[in-house]
Amino acid sequence: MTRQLCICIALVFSLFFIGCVTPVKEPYITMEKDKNNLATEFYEKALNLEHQKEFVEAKKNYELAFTTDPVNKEAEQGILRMTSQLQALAEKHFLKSTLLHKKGKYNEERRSLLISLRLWPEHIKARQALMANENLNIQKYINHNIENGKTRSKIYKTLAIEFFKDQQFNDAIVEFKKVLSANPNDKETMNYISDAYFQMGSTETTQNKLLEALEHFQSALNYNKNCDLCITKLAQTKDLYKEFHYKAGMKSYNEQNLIQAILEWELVQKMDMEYKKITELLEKAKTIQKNIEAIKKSE
Amino acid sequence: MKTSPVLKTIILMAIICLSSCVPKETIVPKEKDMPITLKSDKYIICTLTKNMSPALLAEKFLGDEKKLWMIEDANKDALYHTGETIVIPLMIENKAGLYKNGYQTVPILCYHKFSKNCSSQYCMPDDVFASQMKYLKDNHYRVITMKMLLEYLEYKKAVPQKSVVITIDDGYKSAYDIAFPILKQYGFTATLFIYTEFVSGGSALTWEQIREMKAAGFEVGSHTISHADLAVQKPEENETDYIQRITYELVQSKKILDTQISQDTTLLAFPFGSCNQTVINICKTAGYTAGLSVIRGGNSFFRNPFLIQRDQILSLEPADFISSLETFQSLLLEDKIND
Repeated sequence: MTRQLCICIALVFSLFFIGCVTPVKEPYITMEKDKNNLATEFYEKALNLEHQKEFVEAKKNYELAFTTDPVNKEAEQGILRMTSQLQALAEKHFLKSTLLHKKGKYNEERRSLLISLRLWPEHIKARQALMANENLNIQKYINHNIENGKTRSKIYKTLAIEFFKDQQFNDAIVEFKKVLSANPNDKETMNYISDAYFQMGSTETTQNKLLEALEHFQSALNYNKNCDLCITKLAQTKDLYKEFHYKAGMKSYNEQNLIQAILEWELVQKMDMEYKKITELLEKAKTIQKNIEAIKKSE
Repeated sequence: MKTSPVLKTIILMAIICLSSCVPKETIVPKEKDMPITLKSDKYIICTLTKNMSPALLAEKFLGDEKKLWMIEDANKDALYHTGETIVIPLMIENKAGLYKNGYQTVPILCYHKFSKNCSSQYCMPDDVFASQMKYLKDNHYRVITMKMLLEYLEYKKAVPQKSVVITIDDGYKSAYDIAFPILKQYGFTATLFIYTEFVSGGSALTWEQIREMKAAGFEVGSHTISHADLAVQKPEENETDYIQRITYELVQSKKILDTQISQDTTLLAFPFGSCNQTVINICKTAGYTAGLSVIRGGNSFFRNPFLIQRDQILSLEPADFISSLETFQSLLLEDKIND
């Protein structure tokens, strides 16, 4: 029995030792001590900074001391002292800036205004003066730095030429047009755009996309009025287009598909009313179609 | 077998003792684990009773984990370990970023096109872009939005130290295919400047892609309708024609963006970065609040919002990229009157 009792007591003690039943540590116990230490630490730092005339940082540390210990009268007085000190100094620098402005020393003036705002961020007049000076300088700034994009457009031109070389004509045109907006008289760019449209038109002709080809040959001509080949290609493509739809209309007519034939011939007529008696053919087809519809209705 | 009362008592004690060994939940800090705090109207001072991240502190005390920069900037060397005292500013008095040795500037990076293989300066190779974003992350730059930058220029709010803005001009499709996933990977956003005529073209973004990027936190601004150089009056134009054309470029592009992506568009990037006083006046009337150029340099709190500077990232050299990240302008701002 005594042996059992000893074992059990040893068990309980060992559990205590390994820490399972140690009382929960209460961090709040050190709170009051920490608070006092912190308050002292911030306050002493503030005093030291004030002594070194670092008033911005001193004010911050008085505020931290006061946050830590809200009944600390010395910290509160420190805040008030720093506030009035900083406001007075900010005003001094602001007044100095007005004198510098009158002397035309604008860089020094700006520096004084910045110092004023560093010391007292809510110095409204200092900020207003700073912004007013910046606004006055807008035109000067624009003239010296911004102007137009003539120079900067050169990079877009490089990109456009790369696209052109890779035969990505659509992308090339997009970039060349940017260049042209910055430099409207750039002949080289206009010729590139004309060439790009011409190449697109040529490809579309081989793919039988004749309407698109016509549009692009026309654009090529618009960007280069001296492009004789554009005029030739435009005429050739127009002929191809007319002949293509004329034949398609004939085919439909012979297959007694009058509606389709009319549609095809109307495309030709829209472009050239004199082409291969197209007007007569259309009238004929429309009359027959009208008669057929009338017969259908009477039935 | 009969157990003695003494033994019963001892066994009971042992069970009670053992029950205290059951581990407690430690993942989410309980109220007792939260820091001990002292509060005034300007600061919270807390002593950590547990290792805690600045994000968690920002969420608890500032109501938004994105404000963690306020805590990080106020506690430069903190490790956020148990027992450490952390200062949490409830407001930033130095909203201009003015210091004894100079003032804060915010660089804006300007990109255009991205690709695996680039042959033009306006094209950024994907691997170089990824390494540039990694550099920003590794070196603790904070990518902020244009909205934050404008609040800074309006002297309303401070921005984090080492703030950077990322912009992507023109609206090439590669902004979605290449830049978007890389930016997301680093938790960054950017501002897209779109010229509306280009949207849904062959190599351009679609409205759907723009909406998706906006939903992910990107901002969208105008780059006019046709990427026209707003400062250039065409030879065939008189003054009235010129003003009419510019007004159309600015007003109509804003209307299109407002309708297509349901927003009030207030940001404009001047094509080629060029503008003049007439353009700025029309911008203001049209409802824009900021205009971005491509003049190199950072932006201080006193920068005119219609002359915001940006650095075009054209070089692939890491040193050139790093030189675009100046976030501080040295200038002696000590109070010499007092000396």
